[in-house]
Amino acid sequence: MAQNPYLSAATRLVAPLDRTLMLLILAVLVLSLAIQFSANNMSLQATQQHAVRIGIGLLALLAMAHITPLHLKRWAPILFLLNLLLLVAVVFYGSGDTAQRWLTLGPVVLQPSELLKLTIPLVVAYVLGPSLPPLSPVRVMLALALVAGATWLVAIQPDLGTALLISAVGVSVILLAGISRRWVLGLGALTGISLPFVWQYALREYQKDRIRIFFNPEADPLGSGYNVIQSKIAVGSGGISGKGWTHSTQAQFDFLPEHSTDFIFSVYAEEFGLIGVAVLVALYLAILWRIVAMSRTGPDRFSQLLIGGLGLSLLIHILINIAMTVGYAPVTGSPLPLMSYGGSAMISTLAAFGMMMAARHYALVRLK
Amino acid sequence: MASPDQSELSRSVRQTHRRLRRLIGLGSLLLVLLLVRIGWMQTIHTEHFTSLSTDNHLRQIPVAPSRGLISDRHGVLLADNSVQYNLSLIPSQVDDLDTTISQLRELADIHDREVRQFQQRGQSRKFETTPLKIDLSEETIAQVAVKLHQLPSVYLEAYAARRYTYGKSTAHVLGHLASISKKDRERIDLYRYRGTRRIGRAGIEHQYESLLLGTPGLQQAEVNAQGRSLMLHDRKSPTPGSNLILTLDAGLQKVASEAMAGMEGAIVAIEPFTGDILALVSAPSFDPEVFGHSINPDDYQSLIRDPQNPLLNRAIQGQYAPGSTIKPFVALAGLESGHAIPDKQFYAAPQFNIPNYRRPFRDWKDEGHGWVTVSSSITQSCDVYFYSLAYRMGIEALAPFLGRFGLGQAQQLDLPGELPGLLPNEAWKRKTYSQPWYPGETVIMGIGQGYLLLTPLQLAAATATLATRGIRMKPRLLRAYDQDGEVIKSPPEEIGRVTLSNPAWWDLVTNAMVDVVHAPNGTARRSGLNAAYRIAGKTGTAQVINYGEKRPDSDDLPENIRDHSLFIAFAPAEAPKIALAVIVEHGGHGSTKAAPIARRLLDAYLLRSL
Repeated sequence: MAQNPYLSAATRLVAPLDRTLMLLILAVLVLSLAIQFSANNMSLQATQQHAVRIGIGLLALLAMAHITPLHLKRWAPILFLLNLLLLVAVVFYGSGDTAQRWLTLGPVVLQPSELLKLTIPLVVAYVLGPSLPPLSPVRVMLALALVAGATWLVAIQPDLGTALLISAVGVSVILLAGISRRWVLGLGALTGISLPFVWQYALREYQKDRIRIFFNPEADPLGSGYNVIQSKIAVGSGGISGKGWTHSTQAQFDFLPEHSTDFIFSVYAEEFGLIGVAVLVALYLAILWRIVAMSRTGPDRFSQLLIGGLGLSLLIHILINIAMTVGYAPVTGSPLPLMSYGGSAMISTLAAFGMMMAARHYALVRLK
Repeated sequence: MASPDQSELSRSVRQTHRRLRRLIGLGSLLLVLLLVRIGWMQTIHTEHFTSLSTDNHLRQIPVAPSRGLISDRHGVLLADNSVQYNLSLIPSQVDDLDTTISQLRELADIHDREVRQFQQRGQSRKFETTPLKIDLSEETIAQVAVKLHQLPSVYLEAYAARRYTYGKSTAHVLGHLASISKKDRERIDLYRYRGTRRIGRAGIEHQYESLLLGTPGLQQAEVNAQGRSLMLHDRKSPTPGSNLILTLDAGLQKVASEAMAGMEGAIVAIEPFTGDILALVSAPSFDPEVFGHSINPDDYQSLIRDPQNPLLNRAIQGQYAPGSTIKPFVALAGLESGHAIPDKQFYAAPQFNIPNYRRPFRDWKDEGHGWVTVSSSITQSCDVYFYSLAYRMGIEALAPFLGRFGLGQAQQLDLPGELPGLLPNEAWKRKTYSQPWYPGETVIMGIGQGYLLLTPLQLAAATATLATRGIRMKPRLLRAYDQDGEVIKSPPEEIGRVTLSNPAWWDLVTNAMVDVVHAPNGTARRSGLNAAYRIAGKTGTAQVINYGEKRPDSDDLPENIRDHSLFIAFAPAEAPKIALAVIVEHGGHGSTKAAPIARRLLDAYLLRSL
């Protein structure tokens, strides 16, 4: 039976895609579009822009899905270095309200710190992939140094929240690679000792405030604690079934700041209630466990570390963002993956899924 | 680096997968715990958060009631409300005052003084709209309204301003409104003043504040985080204040006020049988709308520094020696006590002497009045007759009798700030000066000099009592008010009665007073010419300083020590409809200034209704 050449081209195009994961991602993206329409005061223009970014993100996903792990491995150090260069550029040419996070490159406004959630797992997988446990101390030190360097570049923007997130992602991928208990204890001790010095010398006053407010948001209800208080009001007032789509008063009347970006979850929880939250959390959990399943047999250690590392990066972002909206994590200015408004995060998250799918697909292909 | 062999690699892959499972498992557990926490907030605590959310965007905005209107006895509007517009800012929302003000200066004329005032006021109310420029012109309103969306902290604020139809002429009666002061705040029910910025400060506005105020309503506004109202829902309409109907006759009030133009003094006109105040004027007056929203400090300073003291309500706060206007009352006291006998002749020399007292009491008429009676002494205003009569009666008989007319007592008029005047007696003298009462002091009290001090209101009320032949009606300004759509009338109130052993003595005194105006030898005969009705009146000329024995001619004196000119009257003499007292400070003889003014008022009141 003669095959339709176009059909076969299309089949080849989507071949690397993981059907289960794609369905789950698309389900979250539908919720994302719905809640962005509402959070942007039913502005079609803003929703369209969000949709365009999703489209670009899905194209990036598709593109990344066709890059074999071998190519990716070859490009890993260059991509990471490029990312670091962009971060350095941000320090000199960046823009933003309190921190410089954005970089304007022609028509594109880029947030390089968002790309780190791709390149950190990539570079750690690159460095630690060739070494089997017990890991070579040199490689571990190198991986730690790269993560620390990236963290430092983000921290001086200054964007402490993202820096912490980045270091957490980096450390979690290193943990995944399988370092010994001694290393874990040693690193833990080092962190514990350095904390007072970081507080004393590295943090700016507003950052200290953020952390103080995290422990006691009511102390400054109109200042730094305001966001968290308003976010908790939004979440709590949602009730079981929510106020209904487009009926978030907290967002419509601007009580909740950053309600389309960092605090999109609060708006979602306000409008769709506990039922909606349960659905979203279930979708995220399904995505995460699908990623776990995808990494099970990855014969190639680099691919496995990459899939696992990107999965951990996703998990950490989801956890920190949701915890922040109910006051269990400091206000960091980090988006909720797949939900928040903002191009860099959306595109890099979708691209990460593409990488995972490619790693899985070509690993399987090689097995055959 | 040695390449790991296949079995070692697959073991490491299994281990890595196990680690990933554990890490993602730990994360999933945390995520589920967060879900539980959120579920907790959204079920058990949801009511708490829902009420916080509702409070967040719904603000109860008090709506000020419209203040009651004030009209005269014929329904002529004296005070009403009109909408004015203020240019207001919320100080906490203004990032850069200088920039905002320079932007606004392109639209409206804003003085540095207004900016300073705004800054002063803004300090205590950072989160409320604070007026920068009050009472904008139509043109400015239009210009600002167009640009409003570019000026986020700027508001066009409508408020009800008080307008006084008759302006200056009713200023002392109606009073004015002023911003609620710290002192007011301690005294008032703040709930009733929600949304209201001003309070009655003087006059009727102050006296009947609780009637005029009304009850505030409530509006629910959906507001955003900046506090700007997005939508309004009515919840409870305000209840407007009661409308007041006063006893005043606006026309007469205006005539009285115009008659006093350029002079200092007071006029009080009363309807004798009801106690209704028909006119109450103090001159000079002031513009009550100056106090309107927020008085300009310069205007206020010039008002309180004015040597003529325009804020003083002379009609109830001015205390004057009554001069000869006291004579009809002294005559009645004499008749009642038996020291004056009708038709009994008395020889009035140019002066009166007390036995064993060197200083003579001179008559105003150098050659003396010759043979007089009690009646003709009133008509001609013979001083010596009344010196003698008062001396013979003594202060112990004279003072209590005058007191029966309410002289030297507050009249309980429904107007704040009334002063009692002074009706002296022996006890008062001993208490105040630790001195005995001297007979000479009784003598001069017979012609209304000495310690005796009366307010124009007392004099008018006592004159009204002459007109009613002894019925004392409580003077009043409030005739009726409406409440919940019902008109509540305040009935006339009799507060006492002066009874005489022989009622004919009322006629005797009234006839003598008619002669003052209409007889050829009456002191105010010029003011009675061509009158279409009969007036009973009495002139008075009150000394401002003591000249000793010889009294110079008033006209030769500098104005500030010239005599006060007084006149009391009621008319028509047979069936009195109006009684009044007129005082013109430093106006000279009663017949020259006060009496013609009284005639003007009587004509205006009596002839208009004919």
